[in-house]
Amino acid sequence: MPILEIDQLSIAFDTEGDVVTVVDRVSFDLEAGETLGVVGESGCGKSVTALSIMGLLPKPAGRIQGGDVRFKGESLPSLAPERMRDIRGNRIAMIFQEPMTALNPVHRVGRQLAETYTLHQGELSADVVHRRCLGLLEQVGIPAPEQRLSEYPHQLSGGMRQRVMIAMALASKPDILIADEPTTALDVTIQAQILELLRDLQRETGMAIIFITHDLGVIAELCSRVVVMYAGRMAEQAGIEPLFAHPVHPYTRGLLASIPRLEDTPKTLLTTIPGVVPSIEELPSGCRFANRCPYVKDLCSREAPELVSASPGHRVACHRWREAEAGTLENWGS
Amino acid sequence: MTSYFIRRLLLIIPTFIGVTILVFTLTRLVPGGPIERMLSEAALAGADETATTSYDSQGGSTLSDAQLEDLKAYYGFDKPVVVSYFEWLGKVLVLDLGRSTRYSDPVWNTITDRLPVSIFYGVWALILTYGVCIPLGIYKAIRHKTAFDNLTSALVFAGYAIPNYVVALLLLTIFSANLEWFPLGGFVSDDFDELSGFEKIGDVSIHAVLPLIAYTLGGFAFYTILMKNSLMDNLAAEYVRTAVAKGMDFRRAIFGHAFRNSLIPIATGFGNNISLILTGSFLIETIFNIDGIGLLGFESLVERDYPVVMGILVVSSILFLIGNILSDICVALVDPRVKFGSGDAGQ
Ligand SMILES: Nc1ncnc2c1ncn2[C@@H]1O[C@H](COP(=O)(O)OP(=O)(O)O)[C@@H](O)[C@H]1O
Ligand code: SF4
Ligand SMILES: [Mg+2]
Repeated sequence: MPILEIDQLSIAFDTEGDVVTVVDRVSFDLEAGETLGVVGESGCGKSVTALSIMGLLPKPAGRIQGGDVRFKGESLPSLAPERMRDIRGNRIAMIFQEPMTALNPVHRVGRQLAETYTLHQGELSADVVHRRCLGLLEQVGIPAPEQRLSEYPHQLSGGMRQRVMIAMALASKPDILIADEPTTALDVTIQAQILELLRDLQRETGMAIIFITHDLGVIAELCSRVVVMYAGRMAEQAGIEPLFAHPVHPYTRGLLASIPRLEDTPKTLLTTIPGVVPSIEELPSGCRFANRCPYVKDLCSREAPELVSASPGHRVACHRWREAEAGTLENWGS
Repeated sequence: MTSYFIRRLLLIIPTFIGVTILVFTLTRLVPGGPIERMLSEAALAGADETATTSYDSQGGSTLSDAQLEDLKAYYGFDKPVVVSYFEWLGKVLVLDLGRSTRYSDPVWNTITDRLPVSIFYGVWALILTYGVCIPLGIYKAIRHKTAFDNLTSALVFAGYAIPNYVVALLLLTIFSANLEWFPLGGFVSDDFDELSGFEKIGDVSIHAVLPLIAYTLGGFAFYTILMKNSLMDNLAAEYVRTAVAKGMDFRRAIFGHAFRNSLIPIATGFGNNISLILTGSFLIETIFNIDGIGLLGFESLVERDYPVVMGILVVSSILFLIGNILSDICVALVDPRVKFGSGDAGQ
């Protein structure tokens, strides 16, 4: 049994007198110990999906409109708040995009780290907690951990702060770590270090990771499987190799075509996906990618494609998936 | 951390010099000063009179020659500006603020006689303001857009919209004159000296209720809404989400995380409040017949007791200075970014 099942999950927000569905029937599983990538352009619903797993949707505007999230078979949205608090930060931990604002500016790093222990392992003595916090900082590669514990967040760089966030998430040895664009706000060298750290930690601890990013290139370095989202829906889901070797959904093909590659002729224009994502208020009734898709046909704007199984472990939501699979669609951008 | 406070305290010196230069400039405008002299000379030339008093066109008490001479000597009008500034500064530093023209007492004594009353009201007004506004603001933030929130908003804004002297008169009319629940004014009763210790406390308290309400009501809106908005901003902040993501319940996230951050804007205004409240409001003091600094300043201005007016100016400027330092210390106590400097993060 997968450790986490996202089952037909829909999420809605109340906006001035209106209800908008920002995530529409998203389904995927997470196996224990694996790293699953979730990729898609900004605004496609990645963060909202992650927050709903944690039960952290902004209240009162946001709510789960339909579907379920099951952790070890137990439905999370229907859990009592106290039970959910036992899971949050303990069995499922989360780190965020902005390390600069994710830590409390007026509390010392040590205090914020120790909090996870006081919340979930109140029986530990202050001394033990202190030693564990030191160990955590060492584990995430922070030099001079003793000194760092007594510093305030503003005294640390962005990369260091993200390491502190990761340390905090690791404190109770969670089964799942949700990392929502943890490297987006960092510069490239720090980004690479954090990715390597996450990879190492995953090997050491055996926790499962949901790695959210808008950058398919980052996914390749870390994940075994990928979920591609577009405008609140799932476009495609596949193992990392099949996805990169034989992308089926036109959106995935577009994303892949826009990753710079070593073998590209230098200084040529990168392919990008033309057009813009339709705004959440005026989503088309058919395929949401239709206005940007080079393969669009009549059916696409009339009928939304269902998510179907193209091959074992490979699901796609596109009317023309058979042609794509068979290789009879022309290449992206040609 | 200590170095921050030392640096902050050292800043007092230049600020103090700046403030005193400003006040000293004003003394040049008081009677006997260059402007007054110019005006009276013009009046003399026009009317061809032998004036024995200072120039005076609006009635009120006038200054005798002897008093004018005192003023001139005290401010050193006959000496170069720089010399007289330093001489005057020297006197201020030993608390010699000249003599009151009305009471012919030293100004410093006149002011310090009234100071306890003003400090009493000032301190209680501060306690009342923060004691009401902080909890109220917190509760309103948690209950945002509920009936309670809307009702209390309406109430504090009504308090803000009505001028404090109107509030004072209303309170006095209703609760003292008609209902006779509270005395009609004064700081203590006439038989105060004959009361026992507990009765004295009771007497001061019952006299203080209405003036304190009149003093503080107008400020409730500002601090309550400041507290509410500040807390709501922080509740929406990402670090609160981090705390909740750790498994913390919302209540603990509010008081353990958001609360201290939301005090930062409140702490910033703290010192300003101290100096304003200590100098009081002459209207309220007049209405309630309280012998505080506000009333003293007002009477001195009307009676042209310039040494006292200037003395109050000096004292309140210095209080303002102290207030600002207190503000900075308060902010530094809640916000470590001040003490430890920001932007010194290494990679
Ligand atoms: N608090 C909110 N209120 C209303 N709409 C929101 C809120 N948060 C997110 N949304 C909407 O939900 C959609 C998905 O947002 P998000 O999950 O943050 O995207 P991303 O994939 O970039 O993480 C966006 O269209 C966004 O406008
Ligand atoms: S369903 Fe049609 S419009 Fe949508 S991605 Fe497939 S081909 Fe393009
Ligand atoms: Mg996001």
